[in-house]
Amino acid sequence: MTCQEVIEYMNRQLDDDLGEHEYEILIKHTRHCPDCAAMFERLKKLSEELGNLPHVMPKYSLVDAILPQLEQIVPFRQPEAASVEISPVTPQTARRAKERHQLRFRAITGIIAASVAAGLFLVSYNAGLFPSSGSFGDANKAESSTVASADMADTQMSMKEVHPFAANSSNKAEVGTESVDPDSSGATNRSTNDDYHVTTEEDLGISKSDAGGMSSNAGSSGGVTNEPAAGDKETGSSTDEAPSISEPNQGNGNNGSEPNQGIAPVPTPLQASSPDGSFTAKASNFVIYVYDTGDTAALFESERKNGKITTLVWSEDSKQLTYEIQLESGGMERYVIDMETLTESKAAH
Amino acid sequence: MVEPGLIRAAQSGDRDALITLLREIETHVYRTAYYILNNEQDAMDAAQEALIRIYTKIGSYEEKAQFKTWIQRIVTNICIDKFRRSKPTVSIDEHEMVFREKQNVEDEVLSAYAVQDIRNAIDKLPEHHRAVVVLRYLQDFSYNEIADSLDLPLNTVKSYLFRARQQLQTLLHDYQKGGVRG
Repeated sequence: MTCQEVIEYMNRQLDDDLGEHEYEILIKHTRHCPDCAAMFERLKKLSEELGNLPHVMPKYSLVDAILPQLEQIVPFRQPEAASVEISPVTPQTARRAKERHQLRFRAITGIIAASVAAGLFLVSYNAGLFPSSGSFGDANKAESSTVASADMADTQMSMKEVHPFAANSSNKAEVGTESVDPDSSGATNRSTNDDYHVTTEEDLGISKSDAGGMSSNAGSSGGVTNEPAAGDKETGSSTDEAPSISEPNQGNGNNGSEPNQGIAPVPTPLQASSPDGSFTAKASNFVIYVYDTGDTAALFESERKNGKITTLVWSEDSKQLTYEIQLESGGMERYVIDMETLTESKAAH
Repeated sequence: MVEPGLIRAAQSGDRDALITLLREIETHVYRTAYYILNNEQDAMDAAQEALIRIYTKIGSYEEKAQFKTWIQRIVTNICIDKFRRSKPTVSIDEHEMVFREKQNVEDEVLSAYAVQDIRNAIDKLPEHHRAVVVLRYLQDFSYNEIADSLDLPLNTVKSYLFRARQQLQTLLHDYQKGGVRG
C-alpha cells in the first residue's frame, strides 16, 4: 500500500468512515513509516482544531432585521397548491395572469412611451410648441394621481410580491407603468396573448397622442431604469401563479429550485416508463427513483451513485430496469434493478 | 433540527410558523456564510439573503431531501455565486508560493492564535473545497449530506475534503514553522 493510499485512509478515519480491517492496515503502516505517522498526527490535530472552531452567532437577529422586507413578500405556496391552480385554469387565475401580463405589457409600453415622450418633448420644447410651464404642471398632476392609482391597483390585484431588494424602487417602477394605463389600455386589451415585443407603432401612436400626460414618465425615469428589478420580481413569483409567462430568468431569482448554480452541471432529469406501463423510473441527483405509475411515493430508491446516470432501459417484461453511470474517471458502470425483489445489483458490461 | 411539523405548517402558508422556522435556522445559515466568506458583514448580508430566499421558496422544498441540506444548499449557493470575490483564487497546487509572499503582512495583523490561522487558511482554499470543509466541520455533515447540499458526486466530496485537509495542514504547518506563533 502506497503512502498516498494510506493518506486517504487517514482522512477517512477522521470522518469515522474506516472499517476495522482498514484501520488495522493504517496503523500497521504508520508504525513503520514515520512520515505517514507524522502526517497522521498533523491531520488529527487539524481535524480537531477545525472541529473546535467557534460556533459564531450573528450580532443581532437576522430575522428581525429582515422582517420588514418579509412583510412585503408572499411566500411560495406548496407545489401541490400551485399545480391545482395551474392545470385547470380557473377564471380567477386566468384573470390574474392576464392582469399580470397587462401590467408587464404596460411596463414595456411605458418605457417606450416614456422615451418617445421624452424625445417628443425635447423636440417640441425646442420648437417652442409647448410652453414649458404648462407642460410641467401637467406632469406633476399626472404623477401624483398615478401614485394613488398605482397603490390602488396594487391592492386590488393582490400583487404584493415585491422583490426584496427592489422594495423601494419597485414602487417607482409601478408608478411609471401604471401611469401609462389610461393611454395604453386599449392596446393592452387588444393583445391579451401578447408577445410584448410587438409593442410597435400602434402603441407608440397612442402614446404620442397624449404627450402632455406622458411627460410624467419622462420625469419618473426610475420606471425605465428599474425595469430589470420589476422583471426579476415577476419571475420570482411566476412559477405558482402565472406559469405561462416565460420571461428569461434574471439573475438568481429561482435559485432555490435550481440548486447547483456554479457548483455542478444540472443532471438532465431522465425518465422512463416500463413497457407494461406499471412503473416509472426517474433519475435525479445521482439517484434512481422507481414509482408505481400514478403514485408519488417512490417504490424504490437506489443508492447515491458516483456519476451521472446516462441511460434507463426497461426489460421487455418490465421486470428489470438497467441503467448506466458515467463515472468521473470516464468509465461506465451498469446496474440492474430487479422489480420483483426491489433490489439492485451491479451488472457486467 | 427543525420539526417536520413546523416545516409543513410553514409550507401550507402559516406565516408565523415560517418566521419561527427562520429563527431556528438563522444561526446555522449565518455560521456557514461566516466561514465561507471569512467576513462578518458579508456573512450577515449573505445570510439575510439566504433567509429571504428560504422564505420565498419554502413551498418548493420537497421532503425527500433533508431540510438542513436544502438550507445549506441555498446559503452556499449564495455565498459562492453572489459573493465570489475578485481576489485571486489560489489553485490547490500553487498556494504555497502565494502564501509565503503574504506571510509577513499577515504576521503583523494576526493576534489570535489558532482560530485566526485556521480561518485564514480556509480562506485560501478554492471555494468549493472551502464549502465542503465548512459543511463537514461547522454543520457536522456526513459525506452524503455534503454531496446533497452542494450537488456533487460523493467521490468529489471526499476528494475535495481530503485535498482541503492536506492543504490546510500544509498551510498551518508552515505558519508554525515560521516560528512566529509556534
